Amino acid sequence: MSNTDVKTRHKNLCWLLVKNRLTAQLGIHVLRYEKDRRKKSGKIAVVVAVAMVLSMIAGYCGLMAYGYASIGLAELIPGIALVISSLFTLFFTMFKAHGELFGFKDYDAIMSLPVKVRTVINSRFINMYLWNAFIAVLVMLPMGMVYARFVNPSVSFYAFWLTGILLASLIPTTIAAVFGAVITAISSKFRYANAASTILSILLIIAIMVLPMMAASPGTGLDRLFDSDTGNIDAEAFSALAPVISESIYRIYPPARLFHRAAVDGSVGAFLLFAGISVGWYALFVILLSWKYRQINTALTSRAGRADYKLETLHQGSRLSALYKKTVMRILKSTICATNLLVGCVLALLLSVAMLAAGPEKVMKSLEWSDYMPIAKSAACYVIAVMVCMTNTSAVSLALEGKNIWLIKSLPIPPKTLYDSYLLTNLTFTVPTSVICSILVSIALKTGLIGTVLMVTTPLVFALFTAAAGIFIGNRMAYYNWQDETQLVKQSMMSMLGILGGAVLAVACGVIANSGLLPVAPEMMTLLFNALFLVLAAVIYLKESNRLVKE
Amino acid sequence: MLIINHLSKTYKGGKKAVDDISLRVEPGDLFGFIGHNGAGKTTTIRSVVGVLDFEDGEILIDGRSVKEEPVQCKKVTAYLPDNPDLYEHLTGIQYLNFIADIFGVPAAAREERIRKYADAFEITGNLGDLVSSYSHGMKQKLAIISAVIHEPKLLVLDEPFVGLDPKAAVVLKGVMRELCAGGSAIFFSTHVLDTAEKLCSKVAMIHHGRIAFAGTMEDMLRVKQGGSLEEIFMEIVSHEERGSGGGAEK
Repeated sequence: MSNTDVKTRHKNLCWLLVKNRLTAQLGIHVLRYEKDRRKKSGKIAVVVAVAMVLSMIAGYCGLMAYGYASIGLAELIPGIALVISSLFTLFFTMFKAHGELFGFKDYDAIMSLPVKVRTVINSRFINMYLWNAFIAVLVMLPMGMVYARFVNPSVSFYAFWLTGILLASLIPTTIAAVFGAVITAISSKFRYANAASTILSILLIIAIMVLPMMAASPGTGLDRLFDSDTGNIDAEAFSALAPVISESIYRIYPPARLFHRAAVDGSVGAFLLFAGISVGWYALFVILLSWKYRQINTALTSRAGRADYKLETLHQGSRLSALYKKTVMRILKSTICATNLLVGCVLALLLSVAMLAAGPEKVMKSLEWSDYMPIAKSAACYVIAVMVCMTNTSAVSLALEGKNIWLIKSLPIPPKTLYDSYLLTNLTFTVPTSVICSILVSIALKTGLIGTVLMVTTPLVFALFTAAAGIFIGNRMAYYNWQDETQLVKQSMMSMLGILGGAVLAVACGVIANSGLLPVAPEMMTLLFNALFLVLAAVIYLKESNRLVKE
Repeated sequence: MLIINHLSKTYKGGKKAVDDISLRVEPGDLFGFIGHNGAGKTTTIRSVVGVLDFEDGEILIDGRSVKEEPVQCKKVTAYLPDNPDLYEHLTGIQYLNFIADIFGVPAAAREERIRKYADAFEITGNLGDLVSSYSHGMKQKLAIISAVIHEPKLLVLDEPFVGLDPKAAVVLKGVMRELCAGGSAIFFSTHVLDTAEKLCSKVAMIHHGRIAFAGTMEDMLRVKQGGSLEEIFMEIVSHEERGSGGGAEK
């Protein structure tokens, strides 16, 4: 076999691995070969829903660019487009990289194939990259079209922009993969690797949330756009605004400066540097990781048993407590589940502690919510509710049974007991968080008796409602043949509905109660909403309790 | 203990996996269920234990309908699938405690049974380790212990000897005989015809979703005029295939 043949073979192997993974993720074979019409139409419905969400993202980005261009800030569009695309990539990849690169289900099968370690890493990375490049197209293509429409740039712009779209996700994907690799490498040293990985991931979330707030600039100067006396637009401040915003963007993401210079000024050097950093950073990552890849995976997958167990006194528990303990451990012992499903509670705790420690004014200012300070007392309960609602474990608990579903179906477990265990698991995370956060925020905002009661009850009612609604969602949308947890927890419609459904409702109620749309006091509206959602939660619970477990 | 009356199961797409089968398993029976790959063994077993829904026929366990009173039926049944996927996030002892809690096994009884069976299968020392660290054979042993922890009246096993080392296979046969001697019924599928011949008191052969023979082991060997179970099985299979003119199902 010649060298050329060998090279071709390696190239094809990498693509084969990528293609195999993409086919599984996209469920193409379900669409092509599935005979069960329900499953097929379910898949089509998911595709249509995802397509709608994605077109909304593209439309929103286009409109945003149009807004900037309309007020004469078109030159900001390239930098902003790159930053938005990179943030999306970072957000979607950060907690996926760990499962995508390490300890994946078919690791043994893939590593036993005649492929280089580097080929395996490349294939897993390319898979992530392709998804992220798709996001970059959705964000940057409409924004680029708007920019081109307003600025009429030279031909080089189109070349830089289109190539830039393909390069945009390389750096953030690599950053996410580096975080994933570092967390995995550190946690693999621990006996309880999953617990270590979960704790490190949550600390990373906190760092990502807190550090930008600590390093925040004095502001973009938007308030200075208007003359404080007349309320008219100050032309001088307006023309000075673009560089200020640009600097803020470049501080967040320095490669945006290079991309801006390439797209706006037509600088070939800046573009080559941008491309070089993107590709070089990726290549360096693959080379470094392939050096220790096998060791990290071995440490993760080979759990040496101690084989020194001695049978001690055992205790009998109820069916419900057995299922409850099993479900709580299922969620806590999985890094993907714990980090993604509990992030809402972590955010709520962070915000509440910050409110108490730094004071509400400072926190509101750093979040650029200063305008809402007058309604803080009556709206804060909804903010806590939104975050707490994002922890919806009950929506995915049934689907998380996965290949173990035979056990649930063959054991003498009445459906109600099973659902109760899922509900209790969810409430174990949300109820203490709601109570603690409500008390901290009540102290920080110095609410009165009624305010404090509503502050405590509102997140609790929403937590109850979303947990019950999660059972409803899971019982209709659960599926058990998922490939990996990431697919279930981050990419499934049931998870999206569970995490965002309650949060959207809480936002809507908060806006209705506090915007003055209705001639009713905010406290009274909140009381009515609480009663409504409490009744809804009870109805859903009673209706779902005796429903058979989904096939 | 187990009565299957005219059970039929058709999968989506029109494939009839099980076609009008009837069986009767009495207390104390060690009932072998034999058939080639795709014959309908697992479909029958999964229908019996309530994992799979079925359209036609009736399944009764201890006099109760699996469809009408599933939880009551499951309380007296234990099921061991051919490739048991266990909760890998639990340790062996946590898993056994979980199953014992579900069946309401008192603390003293579960302790005694776990000690007895875990010692017999030589996995007591591993019970403190996560199931994810177990080998296939160890998972199989743990699944067997979890199946007998509540002393079921009916034990349904799908290929229970696959993955077991020779010593563990001997232990399992002993456990099966002991349970049947105590009045439990065991209904199990196997490909190992030699084991079935030596172990079973009754046997049924399923071919292309239909029962080709069902009765006591003595009846079978007598009706078929001697020969080993393996020879009889091959004769039935080839006779059926000549009759139907079709190949084996996939």
